[in-house]
Amino acid sequence: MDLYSGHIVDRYLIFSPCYKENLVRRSLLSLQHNKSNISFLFTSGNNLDKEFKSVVDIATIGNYNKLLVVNKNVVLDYDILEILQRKDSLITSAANVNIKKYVKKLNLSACLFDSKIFHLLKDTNVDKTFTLYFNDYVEVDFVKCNYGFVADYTVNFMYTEE
Amino acid sequence: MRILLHTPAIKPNWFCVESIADIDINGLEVDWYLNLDQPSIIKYDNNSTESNPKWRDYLAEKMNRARKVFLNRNYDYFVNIEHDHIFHPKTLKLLLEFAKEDIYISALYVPRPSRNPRNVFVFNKLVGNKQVWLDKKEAVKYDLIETFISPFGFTIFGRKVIENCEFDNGIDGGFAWKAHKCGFKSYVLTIARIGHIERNGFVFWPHC
Repeated sequence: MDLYSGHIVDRYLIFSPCYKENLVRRSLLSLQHNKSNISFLFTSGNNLDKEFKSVVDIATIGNYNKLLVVNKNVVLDYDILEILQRKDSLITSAANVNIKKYVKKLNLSACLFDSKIFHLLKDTNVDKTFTLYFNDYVEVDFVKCNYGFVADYTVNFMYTEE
Repeated sequence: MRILLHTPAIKPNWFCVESIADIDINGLEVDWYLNLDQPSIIKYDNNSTESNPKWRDYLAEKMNRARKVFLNRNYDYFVNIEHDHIFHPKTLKLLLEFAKEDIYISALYVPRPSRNPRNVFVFNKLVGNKQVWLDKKEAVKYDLIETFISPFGFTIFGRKVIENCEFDNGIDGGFAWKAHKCGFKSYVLTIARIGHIERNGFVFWPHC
């Protein structure tokens, strides 16, 4: 039950290796505004594969319904959770087009995983570029949305056209 | 050295969040679990956590969720930082200098006047069978003081302590009884002083 609305809601765990990336951390924490169903795990990003496996464990142990994984240089719009939420998709990813694809590797810029596939994530690998490698093809729902990348002094926001 | 930082709260104070983000973690492997979502056992109205009579159950469930996370991975220390504190970036490293796997140590802070107007620190010790609040003048004579109850505002727990003791709705008091029963000692490090944020925005720092 949500503290503010009183509705039954999914519980989210948001993971990002952005412990020291102030801008990204702040953008993620702002997703919590007026919600009471979100927890966060921020790591240093020193060993992405290990950290990703940790977070999958934590999401499983903590009975979270959804896991949002965000790269340490990605700034998201405030409504990203609503946009990435798709009833019939177990994996959704922020993109600049709307398309469903079968993939074996997935860049973890901003990806939402349903708890039904947490077991699958345990057998994956993550490399230094924060790309996730599956053992087999999985269906990913790429969803058009606005997000930005943090550069040295600017945030380059990518606005998708209607 | 692997450390799990844990913050249990619904509405974290943003000064506290920034304080945690500023902690000096050079040379350490630190993960930060910001445990903000409400647990399943509590049905909330729009009251704040503290005015809800079940906030202790709520906090215990969160602490135990974090405990599971800690035990499931090979962390060496569990650090609990409540949502209403601010502190110097070196506080964690100061506590680590004294930390061991079979003790737990808290930083020094004062109670929030709205909840406890007495002129004492937030910890106590046993004199005979009686728990007494420690007098400020006596407390600051020593760097590290053995206590009966060390509060959970900014506290570092050794792995053995967490392995053997669960949290319950007695929070720091309940945990202290369990820990002492298992033979673990608790301390307060008086040179690690942290601020306690009051609801009106004032921050209370220990001084003596």
